[in-house]
Amino acid sequence: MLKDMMTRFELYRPTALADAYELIDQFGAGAWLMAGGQDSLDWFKDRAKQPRAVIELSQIEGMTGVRETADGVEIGALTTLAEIEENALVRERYGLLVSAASHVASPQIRNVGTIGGNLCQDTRCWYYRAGLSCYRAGGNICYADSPEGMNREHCLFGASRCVAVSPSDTAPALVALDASMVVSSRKGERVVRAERFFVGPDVDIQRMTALQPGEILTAIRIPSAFSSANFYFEKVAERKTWDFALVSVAAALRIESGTIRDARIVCGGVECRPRRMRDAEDAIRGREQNAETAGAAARRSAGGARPLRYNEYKIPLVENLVTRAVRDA
Amino acid sequence: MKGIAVSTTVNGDAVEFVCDARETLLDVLRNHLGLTGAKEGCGTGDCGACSVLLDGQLVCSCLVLGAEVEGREIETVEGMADGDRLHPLQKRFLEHAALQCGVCTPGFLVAAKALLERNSNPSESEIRYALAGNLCRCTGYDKIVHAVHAAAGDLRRQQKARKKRKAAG
Amino acid sequence: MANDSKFTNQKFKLVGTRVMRPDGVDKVTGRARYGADASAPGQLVGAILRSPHAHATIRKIDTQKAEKLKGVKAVITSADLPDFTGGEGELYNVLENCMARGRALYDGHAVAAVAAVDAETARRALKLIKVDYKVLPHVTDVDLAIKPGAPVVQPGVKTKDKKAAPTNVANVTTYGHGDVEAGFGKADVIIEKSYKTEQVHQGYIEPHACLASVGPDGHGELWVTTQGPFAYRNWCATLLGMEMSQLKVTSSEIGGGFGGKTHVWIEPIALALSRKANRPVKLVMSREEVFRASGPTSPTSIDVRLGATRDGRIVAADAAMRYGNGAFPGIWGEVGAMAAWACYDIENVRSVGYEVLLNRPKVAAYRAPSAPMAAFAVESTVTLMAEALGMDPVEFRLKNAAREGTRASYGPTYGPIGIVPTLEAVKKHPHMRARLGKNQGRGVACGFWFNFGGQTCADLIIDVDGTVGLSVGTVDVGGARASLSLIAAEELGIPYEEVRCNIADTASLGHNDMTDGSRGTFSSGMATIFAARDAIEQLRVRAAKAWGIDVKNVSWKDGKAIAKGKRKSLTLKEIAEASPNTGGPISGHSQVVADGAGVSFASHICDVEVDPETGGTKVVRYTVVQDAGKAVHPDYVEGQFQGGAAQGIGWALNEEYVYGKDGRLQNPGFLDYRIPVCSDLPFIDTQILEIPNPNHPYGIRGVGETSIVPPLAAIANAVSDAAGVRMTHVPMSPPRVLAAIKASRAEKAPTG
Repeated sequence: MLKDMMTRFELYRPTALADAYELIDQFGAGAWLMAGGQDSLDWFKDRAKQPRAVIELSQIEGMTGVRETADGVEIGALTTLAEIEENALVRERYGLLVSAASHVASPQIRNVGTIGGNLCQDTRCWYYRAGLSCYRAGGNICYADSPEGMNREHCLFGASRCVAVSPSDTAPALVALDASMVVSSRKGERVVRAERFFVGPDVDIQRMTALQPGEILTAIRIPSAFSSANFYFEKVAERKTWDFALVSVAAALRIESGTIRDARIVCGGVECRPRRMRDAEDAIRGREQNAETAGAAARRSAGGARPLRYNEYKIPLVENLVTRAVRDA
Repeated sequence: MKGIAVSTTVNGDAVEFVCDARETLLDVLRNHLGLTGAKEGCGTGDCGACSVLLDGQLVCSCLVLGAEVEGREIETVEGMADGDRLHPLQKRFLEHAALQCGVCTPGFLVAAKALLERNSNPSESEIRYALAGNLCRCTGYDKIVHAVHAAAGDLRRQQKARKKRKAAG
Repeated sequence: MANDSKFTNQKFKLVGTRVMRPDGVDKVTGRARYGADASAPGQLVGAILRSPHAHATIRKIDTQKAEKLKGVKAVITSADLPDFTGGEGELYNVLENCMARGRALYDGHAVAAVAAVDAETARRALKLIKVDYKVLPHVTDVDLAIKPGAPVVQPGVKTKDKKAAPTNVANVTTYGHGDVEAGFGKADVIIEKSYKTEQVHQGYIEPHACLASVGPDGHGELWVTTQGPFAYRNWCATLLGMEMSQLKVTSSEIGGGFGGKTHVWIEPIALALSRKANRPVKLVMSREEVFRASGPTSPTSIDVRLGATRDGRIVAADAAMRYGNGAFPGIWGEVGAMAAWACYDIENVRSVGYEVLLNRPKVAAYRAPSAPMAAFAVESTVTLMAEALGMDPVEFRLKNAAREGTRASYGPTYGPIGIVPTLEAVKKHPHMRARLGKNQGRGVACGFWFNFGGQTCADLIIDVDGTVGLSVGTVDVGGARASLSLIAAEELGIPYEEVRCNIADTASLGHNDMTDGSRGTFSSGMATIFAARDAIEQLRVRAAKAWGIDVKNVSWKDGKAIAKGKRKSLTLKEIAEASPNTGGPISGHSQVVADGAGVSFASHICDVEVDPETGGTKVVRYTVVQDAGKAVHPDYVEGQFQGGAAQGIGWALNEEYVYGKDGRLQNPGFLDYRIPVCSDLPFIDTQILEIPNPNHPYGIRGVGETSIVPPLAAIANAVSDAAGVRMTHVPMSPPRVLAAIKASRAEKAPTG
């Protein structure tokens, strides 16, 4: 009994989505969907989450693997990060995602952790994870944004009562690739663009994605628009490996004879959702890819940033990472 | 407490156990099966001391539920040696003094084995990244990296010799 | 002769070779048993309730509901641990630290404990214990704690020095000699700088764990991961009012300690629970508990003033060193003050250590405790001075280094020491000539550690087949059994493989001090030599008896008794085989206070690459040069050098305790407390120097600790060289480096 005991739960391992929906209905708010479990177990051991029923999804058919589609690829939500790293198709066309996936946690965790789990994981804010009753946990205070808060890892943008950031390494890459999320429920399937899939506290303070109760992320579709484009991924963390990002950047640039035709630049670790650097993108479309253009992008990447007491360093970090992304992609 | 009956294979042997839904694979190995080679250094997947192979994949056994291993194959440090013959990694760890206190060693051996099964000739950097999920506080990793590198050579030579024997036979 | 510890300068056959460790196979096959790997029939599971407050009065603890829960066999609070210590002093502090007595002094302070049939029941019982706290103001920062008006951690503790800040300063100690102010008067250049280091943890991978069993007859046994079973036995017996002989402590294999397992935390609680329940109790700390409630090292705040003449001679040095002790007074500032200037020969020198009380866990030793922070401040300033004088930093150090005959700033006069040789080796090292790339910089720093000896006892038994069992009482933290077996084999003249070294429990051997102070191989090595010599005496007697000659005429050489003037000889094996009929078993014994542990010095070279756009620092090359006296097993000496350097690198770049303003530790886990992983580090080159310790027969000095002393400063000097900013606050994490680069650019930018 090293970590705290997990609270009692029933474990279900449905073999079909329909059974999973049934279980979700049965247990309502007491149900917890578990993919690889690499973050879930941590929550349970901390007793910060105490589900009555854990619905483990690995036995459901058709939710793993990479398939080629008419317009790109579709990746099953239960595909492990290690499988994505090694998949030939993804490597050939979407090196940006491979790079992001390979920066997640440790080899052990990438072997079990899934892309769906990585995208849907909850924030790392240590007040929230400690089980404190903050806004996100249904309370009426943000500990990180109080005068006493330790907030060097928190957000620059999009604060709305909560100042947590999105922890996922793969989310910025998928937003940059303009991916879509396939969301299934008893009612059927809906497809949500990655950019809208991740939501800030202004939209829903208790959830980080657009998933509604009863919905399951089943697949990720990546269109061919940025297939084999010029990519740049970099993650700055306190420890170079096995750590969460302080700030990360994922960029996809379409470059034709030295000129940037299109660009999507996304930062992680600066907002509760992956932050698209639209001003920076606008500033570089149609321009030559060079240091000057990169500088122009950087100057437009941190506008509107509202640093907290301990995270002002993230502003130069964002600017510098955007510079590199545009210059070196 | 309602137990979950699980049938699985551990180090090549068929094993059955009954566990609570909340028990991790590490709990099962240590408390039900008496296999204390995998260690609990953190319980959160941060230290890798509980590393085992699950269907050949390196995992933190503290982050896998016991019930999830139904029908799967588990390999722990206790299963690495072939009878009284140590695995080349075990030998090289000893020869290179790649352990001091030794508590992280089972996890490193299993992680290194997973690496060498995938990549028989890893570079220094590949070794370092493959072992990045295992914490060692004693050695500074220097001698561990050397030991893994040497064991990779042993395994390649073994492989070659086996092929030769086959060709000759 | 038998107990003569003078250096003999003998030629070695075995000592210095790289043999396989005797405990190795168990450790690569998973068979070795560590603290949490033992179980006993009928064992209960223990769990501890801890204070969520940094500082509080405990008005009442209601355990009734917990006691009534089915499956709960014992619930204890401090009421179950009556004070047998006399109410003051270190032992009382240990008692109060193990279990709060009316007040909680830090986040994680133990308040109550339960033993139950399983972990779930124990955990549920903890939830049923109601503690009525009155929360008090707290302080966790060293500089804030000494400000007037700061919350007082220990109202009963008074500062000796009345001039010093009155509140949380438990003690002030001053070391040095000469007239410091007059010295500064002669200086051409004076550099003053303030430094800060954050609190770090030893970070051993194995959490504290024990299995305790006490019966109604007052007899007890404790299986525990520890650096010192005898010390644990003495503390536990005293705190529980037991007779020492009635408690047997067996040390498990130890999964890292680095000083953190030189202190009891959960062990007295496990014993008290077992006594109350009359069942064995297994108690294992979670990683979170290890961080919150074991003994990390001090956070510090240090001011340094250094004066030198234009020709590069240091004429005055002064340091004010504030060391956080946690909630109980310790000696950490004093040790820091002693170590601060030990590398240099300075005419006018002073260091003042302040023991600062904080609402943080009771500080314990961490590898060369207190010296790394002192070296960070001193060695950073020394490099700044070299720069100010336009001198090479190695030459400047050589010019001022201590030598044989130098009076150390902390009092003694040095014998033969290694600081100059390590610096000379650095000067010649190819690393110093390697070209640096873009954004790369190089730093050099020196380090010192005292090393200790202390009480030591060893038994050496010669079995009838001529093989040898060696029992020592110093826990093997990383290869000592191999080294001690080598020493026994060397002394007896038999093959290494014929010696088996065993770590004795407290009922089987006389008292041994802990494996700390780099004393394991030094002191147990000495006791082993003496025990072997004792056995050789008996072997000679038996041979003489067999030959019917006077023992005077029998000498011992190469594993054989040789009769003077005659050709006949008897091997150890032959004498052993005959022993049942020549007087019975043969064994050697030794008990000694191993004085004369030679001081140890190291110089490190470090290359880093700083990414000016992210603040990230990568160590690209690292070299350790250290004096070992005599490297008994070079592999494990190198291992100590490399391990210490790696811990220092983590300390310098990433590791820190982060306390919120609420006084709670924010990062009690290995994800947010970031120790270096494999891909964070380069190979760590080592160069072993051997300047024999005159006070050990084999010239051995301790090697375990010094290697953690220079890295903080070596890396700070390298970062400064690479990025052009002087980092005075560790860890030098990306946010701090980035902020420093930004601030330095803003400063340099032309105004207006």
